[in-house]
Amino acid sequence: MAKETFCEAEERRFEKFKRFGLPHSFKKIGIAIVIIGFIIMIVGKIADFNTLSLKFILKRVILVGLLIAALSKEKVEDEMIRTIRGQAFSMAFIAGVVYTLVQPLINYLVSFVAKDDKSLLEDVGDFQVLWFLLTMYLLFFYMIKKRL
Amino acid sequence: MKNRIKIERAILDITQDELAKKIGVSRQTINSIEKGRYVPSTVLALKLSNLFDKPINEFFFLEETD
Repeated sequence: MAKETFCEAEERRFEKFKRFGLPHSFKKIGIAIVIIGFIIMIVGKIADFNTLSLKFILKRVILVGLLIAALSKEKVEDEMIRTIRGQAFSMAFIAGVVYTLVQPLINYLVSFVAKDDKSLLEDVGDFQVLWFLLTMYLLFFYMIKKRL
Repeated sequence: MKNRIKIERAILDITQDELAKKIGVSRQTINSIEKGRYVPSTVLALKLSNLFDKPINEFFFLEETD
């Protein structure tokens, strides 16, 4: 009897974890954080006050904003939204892997064609991969939702 | 998969929104089911069955491609 109760409790905790999400209002907050982060980055580049530490902080702020937007629930969370969420995550993951494989080659080809002396095969940075993953997830989610 | 959800809903004389609220989903989900773009889960199909008071295979039909 005690073992069954422990299993049920584990199942309940797992279900709660599966259905975790921030309230719907957080989506706008997440998008606002991303936009503000990008604007500060662009302004910093133009006005030339982008220090290394500021770039480091801004990149993480943008990632947090994207994560908040990705984890936010829809107005009505039902089984169809959960299905769409799962499909969007798997498509974004595959897109992320392809991006990581292909992007360095594209960068190298472009710099080779542009006859850039510094053309090297460089790995994609962590920020780029995570930013791409989260952005693709949000794009796929809304594309699939619109199609349904 | 084909379905007669729209017809069954018309028999009950309720809107998509009302049907959605009765079974705990969004109006968009009902619309997607009626248009055949989304296949509901077993639980949702059983809820519809209870509401329409008919067995599931009287409003959901398999197609040859299924």
